[in-house]
Amino acid sequence: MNSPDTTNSDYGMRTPRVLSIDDSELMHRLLRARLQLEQVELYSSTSGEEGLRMALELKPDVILLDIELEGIDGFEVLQRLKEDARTRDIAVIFISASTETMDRVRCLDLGAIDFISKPFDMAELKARLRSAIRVQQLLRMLSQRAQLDGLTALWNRAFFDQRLATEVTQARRLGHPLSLILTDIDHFKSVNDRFGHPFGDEVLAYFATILSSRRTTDIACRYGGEEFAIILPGVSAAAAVEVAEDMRKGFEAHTWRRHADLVLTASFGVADLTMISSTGTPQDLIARADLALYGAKRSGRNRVSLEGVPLAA
Amino acid sequence: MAVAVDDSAMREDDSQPAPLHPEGGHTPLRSRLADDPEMRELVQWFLGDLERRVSAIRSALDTHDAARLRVLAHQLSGSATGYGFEEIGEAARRVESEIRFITLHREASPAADDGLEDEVQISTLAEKTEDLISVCRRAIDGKRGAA
Repeated sequence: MNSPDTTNSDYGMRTPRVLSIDDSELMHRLLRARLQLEQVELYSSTSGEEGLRMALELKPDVILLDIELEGIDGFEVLQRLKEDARTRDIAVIFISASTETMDRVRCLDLGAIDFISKPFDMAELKARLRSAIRVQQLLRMLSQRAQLDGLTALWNRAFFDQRLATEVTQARRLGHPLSLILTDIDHFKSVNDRFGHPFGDEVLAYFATILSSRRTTDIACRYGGEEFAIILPGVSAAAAVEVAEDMRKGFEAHTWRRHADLVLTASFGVADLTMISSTGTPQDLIARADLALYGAKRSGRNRVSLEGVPLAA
Repeated sequence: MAVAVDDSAMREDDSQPAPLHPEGGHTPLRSRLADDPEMRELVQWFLGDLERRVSAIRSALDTHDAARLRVLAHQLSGSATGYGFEEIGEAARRVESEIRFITLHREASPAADDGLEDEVQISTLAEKTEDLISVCRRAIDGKRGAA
């Protein structure tokens, strides 16, 4: 299953990064010693200006920020982090000797997610750090949810467009194969008309599970309506045809609980990078797969086709 | 935050900073974490840094550089406890909050802005700084004792 939390974005499965901004080397060395066993990469900066630069560059998950810095102070650093879309989502934990309630209120109002008083207990710091990292990961997952199709839990069209472009670039750079499968449920409109939309939704959801149950590297997307697309990095057209064939068989073999006699089928079109010119766009690849899908439909449906030529009956 | 203690004002009323706090009670101080395997080496490094820092604190006090003093004390107040020296952290916090108090006082009554006329405040700050220096020295002596 191409679950959202294992694909997508710079973050992926990387070790959480923590940036500590504090004017004192005493603090940096202490944190380095005390966090060495935590699953984090620790970076340090001794000024607000440098800290802001490093935040942009490293995209840390969490920033530990001291309020009292020489030059621009912690409040100012936080404000600038929050004003910049590229750093806005970084979780900021304030560390300060201040026990003033107003300072804490101001930090939280400016968008810090937590506040730790100096001197702090290391166990508490570690616990708060872990909690912040957990929240960060959940937030990232939620933002990915926005790229998921609600009914099928597959990636949506917007994500597909963006991802296909990335994969085409990547495959060309590495000289790896890349295939695209476009598929469409046969006579879906009449399924809806005869059995109603709730059943139609059930069919779409089931079809989605078949498309997404293969390798984690495959990227299954709902292209629109009853049409779906699967991006297969590292897979040539010949192998993608086999994949599509398995999917076709799996869907055809399904017994529908409330309509035991019903047999539903789908058609598949396959194309890979070698079938378009070396300067061809992702849209060109989609067009080739669409042409193949059209071929499968025209020659009787319930089949897989490559380059407009049906391959399996 | 610039809180340079104004020299001229002090010369003007010709008062001396508070008398040095007697450096009594000179029991060597040992880090609570001296035997913590994760911290052992770092505590030694901290003590080396502390020797330089004490000189810096001394010179900030002698030159009435309150801003510098505040930074030096702030860095210690935040981290000394982490190195197993609670007493240093507390002494540093007292210096820090005294400077903060003086700052607030000056901001609240700009009339007094032409100098820290409140000798009591200045002498309190000097006294607390001497306390800090003294407790740091005890820690440094603890290191020598152990070596």
